[in-house]
Amino acid sequence: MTRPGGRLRSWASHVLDPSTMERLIDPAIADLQHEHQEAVRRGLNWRGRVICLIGYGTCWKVLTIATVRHAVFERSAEDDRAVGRAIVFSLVAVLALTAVLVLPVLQSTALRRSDAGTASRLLLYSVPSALVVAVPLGLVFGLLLGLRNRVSTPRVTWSVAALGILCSTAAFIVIGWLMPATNQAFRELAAGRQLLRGFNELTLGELASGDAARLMRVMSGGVTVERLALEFHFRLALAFAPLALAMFSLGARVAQRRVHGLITTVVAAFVVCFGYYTLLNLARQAIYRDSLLSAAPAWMQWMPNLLVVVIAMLSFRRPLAAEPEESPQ
Amino acid sequence: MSTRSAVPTLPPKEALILELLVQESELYGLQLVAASKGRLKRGTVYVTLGRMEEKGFITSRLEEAPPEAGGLPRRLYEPTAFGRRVLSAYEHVVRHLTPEPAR
Repeated sequence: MTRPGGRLRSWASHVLDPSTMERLIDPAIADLQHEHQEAVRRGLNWRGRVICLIGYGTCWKVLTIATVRHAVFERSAEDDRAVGRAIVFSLVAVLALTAVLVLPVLQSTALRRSDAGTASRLLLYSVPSALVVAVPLGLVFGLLLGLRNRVSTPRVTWSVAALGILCSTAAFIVIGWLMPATNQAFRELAAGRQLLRGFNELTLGELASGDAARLMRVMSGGVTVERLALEFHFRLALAFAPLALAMFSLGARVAQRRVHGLITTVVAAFVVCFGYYTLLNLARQAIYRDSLLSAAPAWMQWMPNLLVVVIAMLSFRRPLAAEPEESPQ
Repeated sequence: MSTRSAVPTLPPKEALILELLVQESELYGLQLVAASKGRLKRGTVYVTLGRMEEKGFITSRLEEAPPEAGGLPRRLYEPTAFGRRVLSAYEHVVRHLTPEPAR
């Protein structure tokens, strides 16, 4: 019979080091197994199931706390706090990029003519749009700088994947619902009157509905089913950009053959970000310019993401012997 | 043991665990949760125990279970001499510094 917690333990052992497993995870799972075994031995099968349920909740909580502590705070001799560094650098880069992207709003005429209350609301409404670009780019900078000259361990790989998923989930919510609402609020506040919406002001749900006839009533025009599908896939592809770029950054780190300087890493981050967004916009413009709108499948918007992920996968296939031999600077 | 601070700190949860371990000598994680009567939670007790072990307040060993028992062996925790001293100092401070209720 499979004992409860066995699979969870096996999964956790990929993420955490043996010492953390021994001190935190194993005691929680051992207590769960014994409590469950005792209930089953006494014929209390229902109680056994309840114990399993509560025990799994406990184990997941312990696992979450241990993973966060392990990834962010604990110094690993093997990877020299690479994940903690990457998270801190990413946060700083996202904040800096958001500030840079919001800067033009500060100089806008609408903001300069407004009172302090309206001006602060205009600034606040412009933040989600800035985050859409700042999060993926900040993640690339943070990961490339944080993982620079550090050894890639399974812990680093899992943590970066988790970070990418977390950022993509956040981006999905921002791009899908928050940004359309704040965009429209910004436009109306700046204009001082109600305005018809554009494609950027439609939620993901509205884009997915494909109901062009209904949306014509609230939009400024040019609504077709094909355009809605295209915008929907573009927005969705954009939400997955943090995950794709995180995998790419990790792949670039694995494939790195020698120790790189700070300037080289920063330039590489710029090239990656610029290349990715150029590709994304080229694919979008080509569809419009060449009147491919009706012929081009909407999933073509995913091509930049796919390309980045394929390059990342190819990088992962490189032998680990490529790890730099020099010690971190 | 942590070398960050020369004077050891004892948060209330760690004090409670030490109290229970001093009373019972050796307990499992879940036994501590049961003995605390709701003051310790299942989800955090193992993390607290791990931290206390790092600080040197407690020590642990794996139980010697019979081979037919199966499953992972449970971990038993007991206070160290250092942990007992820290608890004693903590109780002394609490006794002398807690203000008396106003009459």
